[in-house]
Amino acid sequence: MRLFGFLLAALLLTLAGCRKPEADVIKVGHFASMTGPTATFGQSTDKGIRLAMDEINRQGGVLGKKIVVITEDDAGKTEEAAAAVQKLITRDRVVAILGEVASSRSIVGGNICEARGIPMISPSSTNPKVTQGKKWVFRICFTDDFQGAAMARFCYENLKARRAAILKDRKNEYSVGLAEFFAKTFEQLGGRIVAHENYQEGDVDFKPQLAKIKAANPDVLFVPGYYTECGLILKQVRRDLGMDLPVTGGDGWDSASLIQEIRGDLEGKGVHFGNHFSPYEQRPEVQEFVKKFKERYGELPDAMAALGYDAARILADAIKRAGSVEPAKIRDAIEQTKDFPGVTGRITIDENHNARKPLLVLQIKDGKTKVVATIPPMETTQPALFRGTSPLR
Amino acid sequence: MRTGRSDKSAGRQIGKSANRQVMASWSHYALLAIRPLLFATRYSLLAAVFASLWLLDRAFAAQLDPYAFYLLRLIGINLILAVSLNLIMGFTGQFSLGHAGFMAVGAYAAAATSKWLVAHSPALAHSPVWQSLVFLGVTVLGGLAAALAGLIVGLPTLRLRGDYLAIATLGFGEIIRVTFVNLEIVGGARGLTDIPPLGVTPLTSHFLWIALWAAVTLWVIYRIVRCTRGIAFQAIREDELAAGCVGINTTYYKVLAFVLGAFFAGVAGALFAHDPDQRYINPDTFKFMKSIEAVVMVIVGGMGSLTGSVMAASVLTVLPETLRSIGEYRMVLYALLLIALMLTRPQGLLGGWELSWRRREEISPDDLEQPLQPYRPTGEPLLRLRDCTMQFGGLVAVRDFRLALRDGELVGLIGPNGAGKTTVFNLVTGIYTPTAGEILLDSRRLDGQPPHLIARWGVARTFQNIRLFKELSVLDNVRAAFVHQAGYSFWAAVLALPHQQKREREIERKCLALLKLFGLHERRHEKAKNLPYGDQRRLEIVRALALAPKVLLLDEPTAGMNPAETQAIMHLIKRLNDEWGLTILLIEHDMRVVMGICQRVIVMDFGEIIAEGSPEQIRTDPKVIAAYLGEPMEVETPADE
Amino acid sequence: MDVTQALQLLVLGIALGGIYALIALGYSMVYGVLRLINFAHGDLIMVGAFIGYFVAKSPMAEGLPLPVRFGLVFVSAMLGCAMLGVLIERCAYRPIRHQPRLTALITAIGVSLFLEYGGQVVFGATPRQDLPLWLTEQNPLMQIFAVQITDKHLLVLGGTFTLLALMRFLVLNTLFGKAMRAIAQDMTAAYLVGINVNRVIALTFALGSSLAAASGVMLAMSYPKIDPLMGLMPGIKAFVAAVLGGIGDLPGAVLGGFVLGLAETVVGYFASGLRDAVAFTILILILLLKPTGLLGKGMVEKV
Repeated sequence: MRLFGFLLAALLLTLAGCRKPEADVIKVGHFASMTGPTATFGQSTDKGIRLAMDEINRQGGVLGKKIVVITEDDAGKTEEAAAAVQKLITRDRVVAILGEVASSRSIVGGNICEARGIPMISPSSTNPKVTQGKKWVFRICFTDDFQGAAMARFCYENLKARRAAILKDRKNEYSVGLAEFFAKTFEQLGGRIVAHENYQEGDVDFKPQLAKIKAANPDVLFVPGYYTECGLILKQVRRDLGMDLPVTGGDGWDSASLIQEIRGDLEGKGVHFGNHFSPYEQRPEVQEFVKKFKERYGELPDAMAALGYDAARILADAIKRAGSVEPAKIRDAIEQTKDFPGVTGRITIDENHNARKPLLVLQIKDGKTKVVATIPPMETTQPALFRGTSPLR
Repeated sequence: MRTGRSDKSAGRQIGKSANRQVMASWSHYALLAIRPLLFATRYSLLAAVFASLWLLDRAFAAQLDPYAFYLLRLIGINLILAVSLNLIMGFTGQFSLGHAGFMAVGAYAAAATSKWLVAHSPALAHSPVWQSLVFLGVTVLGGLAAALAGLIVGLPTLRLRGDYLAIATLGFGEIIRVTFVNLEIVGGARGLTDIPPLGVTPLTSHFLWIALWAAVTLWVIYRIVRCTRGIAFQAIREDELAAGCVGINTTYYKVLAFVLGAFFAGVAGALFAHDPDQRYINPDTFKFMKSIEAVVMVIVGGMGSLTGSVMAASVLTVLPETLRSIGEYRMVLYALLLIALMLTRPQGLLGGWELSWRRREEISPDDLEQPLQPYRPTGEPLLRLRDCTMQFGGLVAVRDFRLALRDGELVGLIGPNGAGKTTVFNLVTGIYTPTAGEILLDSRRLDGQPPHLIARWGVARTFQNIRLFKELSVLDNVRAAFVHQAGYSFWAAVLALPHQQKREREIERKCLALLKLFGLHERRHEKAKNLPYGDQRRLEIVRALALAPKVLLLDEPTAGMNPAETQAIMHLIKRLNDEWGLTILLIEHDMRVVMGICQRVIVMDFGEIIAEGSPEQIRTDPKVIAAYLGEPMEVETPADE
Repeated sequence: MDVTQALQLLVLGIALGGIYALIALGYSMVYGVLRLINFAHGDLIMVGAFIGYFVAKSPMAEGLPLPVRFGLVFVSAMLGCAMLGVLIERCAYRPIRHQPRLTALITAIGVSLFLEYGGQVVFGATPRQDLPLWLTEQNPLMQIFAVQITDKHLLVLGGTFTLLALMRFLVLNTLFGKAMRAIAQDMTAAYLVGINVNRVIALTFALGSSLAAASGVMLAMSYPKIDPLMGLMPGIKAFVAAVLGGIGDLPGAVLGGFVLGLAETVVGYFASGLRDAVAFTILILILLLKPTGLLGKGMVEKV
């Protein structure tokens, strides 16, 4: 009997969580990996978002109301991402969602937003699948078909590499997609992929795969993964396997904890990665932002923070343009975003719901980054393979 | 259905005459009339449950907070998982730490199929009827795929015991997961996205589907476990060896439990994958942790209690959600609760208790017919052992053992401890295979055959240390002997078909008749472990008799008994042999019993026969005296009845 | 595949195997005496790694010469985990010592979960990669065919074999070891002959846990990334290694560890995706073909 009572009480408790939407604030949700292996992704993005929203609120808010950001942690797990988005939409009744950084999680969250009719802006997910065929999901960064091609170009033209090895995280839509685009372009340019190995997020031992890569004698190693593994991989490449070849990666490398470590013997013939943003860029908007960020948080912003900042501001701008908090109207307004002056560049949302922006190639030296190349947006069409719509909407 | 066999010995008579007697009873006509009604009501009850579920769903789908609805769906899925695992762990006693693997197989099979189907026939989106049918089909497919996996995993691993079985199942669960990680066609490590929510149509909701399947799972497993054939599962859990010796094919039932459990786990997986709020699965969902969650649910609820699993699934689904507010401490608390539960109440919240419907009309004990009929034995050799030798590595336990046991004989087997007497029993009942020699029952070879077949062919035994099914009731212990003679399939039991119902009643009558005859009828619902020692021994004999054996092997039936109890057992054994012509081979240390009732005595020492003859002969045999008996002593003849 | 690659794989396999061997040693020791699969063993590894990490980063370690620093890290980790192990045994395992196996298994799982999630609360879920350089750097000692053998490799191997020899000596040549073996054979009889069973078991746990701690530090040294869930996989794999060698058998555990390490490295080289499956496939094969393991002895059940 006690158990029945308990069960009943629990059910009532959860039902009681059903609240009426408050009238005098605009609620916006943010789902992110605040804890877990990729914690800095979520934390940085959140910092950027909050900096933006606080600024906007200080200036009077949007449509006369303050914007409240509700952040749900998905602990870096894709299943939790689904639950987090569910919660934001159902319990918290948000009018729009920001998130996520990781493409896998954005895809899952996006499916739910799509089904529920809530607009979603991903600040930094780069895999094409995130927005493909979707009506309600947007992103304000470039996509991996561009990033992969750009990095391939960099390796071929700047590093003069002809034999490339790839070590990707097969658990990760982002990593898989980026590796594929890199390989395609590199081969189109005339290079050869001499080794293609896999690891999984959470692994600590990459030595067998690296041994195989070493045996193939590459000129460059492309590691399109997240910073958590990339640090270990680099160490094992340089120290355990004794290879000093140039190592390159994508925007997943962007994390202060990783960058600080890379110095001395870890540099080898060069460590580079592609990114959306560098705090050392001399543009006035960038320096303004860096100053504000440093004042508030005491550290330099990374790309995720900058993109979070931009995404939040674009959302607020869209709500203002829509003149209403109705999700459908907000969505339409986002779609029409043109030439928005972002910290990460001028942002225009194209017909695929993506933004065309340049890629910055950063080199890591002595624990710091510096921009060594800027690659403008290329005309890349999304590969036919990936075109496809969800049969049941 | 089994047909009667034309056998010569006493036991076979139990079946035939019982039937004739039953037909004559007037109360049976009354039952005959009621039965069709019961049949109808059972199904209409089921229909009513389904209809009310559907109404409830329609009524609340709109009202209920979607999050609470999601929780209810999750409870349903966990319920199916817990109940299916309970069949394997709680009822059959097999550790299984890889249940999530079966769930994964079901989820992937169903999701991949429905994605493919939906991509190839867009018309599906427009017809709710077709969609529902497809969903049903896809879910069953998931279940079948998982059942196949259960078969593949179960067959090799079920010969392991305890810890090793647990680890092996864990290993298989992980291998299944890693297989899916490497299967790029279903998304590999990144998972399968965009699974069509087939459960959602204008007429149905996903919750309804889950509720229906939960009801089906509960019903099926309840029916299977409660019918006589289902006793096999618990018998295996209680004492696998004894189960084999009462005719239960333990391998078959263990694998069956695994396969059935896997089927429903697959169904749960399929339902989980198609959840409209998820629509995504990846191999990490089915990690080791998921298997542990299922195991925890079974244990918290109580192994062997379906009601317990239902409760535990509900509580353990809702609890982490309500604890979400305390964030990271949530799982720590969960772990502490688990440890606390194990320390204080390891049998789970409900132990083995089950919510049960009101019992049917009890059969009155006066209404029972005689289970055993008088039988005139032929005296032909029934059981023969020829030059049997049993060697364990360097130790020869039994050497060149010869025996010709005639139909109707009561023979005693005596000797010092370690002489090899129980080993001989184990050889006859198939627990050991002789290193050399032959064992024949009538003209059938027994050596090398498994115990359950030997039991079915007519050899029943009791054990030196009493091997009853301790947690089962007295009645169920006897019913266990009827598992192989049940005469219906599990399908019939699940659907509660009339012939199965009739057969159950027949079996119950026979069991009750036997219990009444041996004075255990009063205690029929008590757990066997709660019986006094003497009653336990008698129960073991009754269970052996329920097999309708041609030969009965009794291993020290009077061990640990006081003189009065010994007398009682002695009379019983004599009666079995005199009145009902049962052939008996008896191991005994109590010389009053041996001298009192045995017609012939065989003496063993160090694995060999050292003497054979009538009681008087061996009592004075110097070899026997030297090895075993000591000084000749006065022996009382048994008092008259 | 040429000689260089084969040699490289050999070196990597043995390096990995050495760590598995040490973990398996601890597992086997506890199982041998208590017949308990201590799921929490993997998490004790984690605790050891964290203790080592904090000690290594503490100001205490700074002024001291290198060997002393290493010694300090190892000793503090081993002592810390020994105490934790004794505490766990006292609170969670002793009360259920005579309960059926399943209860013990579930309790062990509960302890494991507690350590993992508790670790996340205390240490945070984010992995730490900022281990001090002196602890993790690999200084090559020799080069054969372009394959480096570093000082860490030797430390791991040396440590594993030294501890194996120590444990072996303890079990076979001391009175305490005899008490352990007695308890393993028949606990009730051990009580009856006056062995202080509680004390022996507590000490066995202390030993096993300190071995786990040593493995944790070595793991952190070789793969400098620690987080509260780091012990799960190595724990399970080391358990497989122990079963492979014959659970309860100490040299067997070490042998199993090396075999598993080599197998995993080789499979990882040829088909990186199947690496995790290696351990479990070996487990299934061993359980089906020779459950007592490569070096183990069989047990016959008396009816």
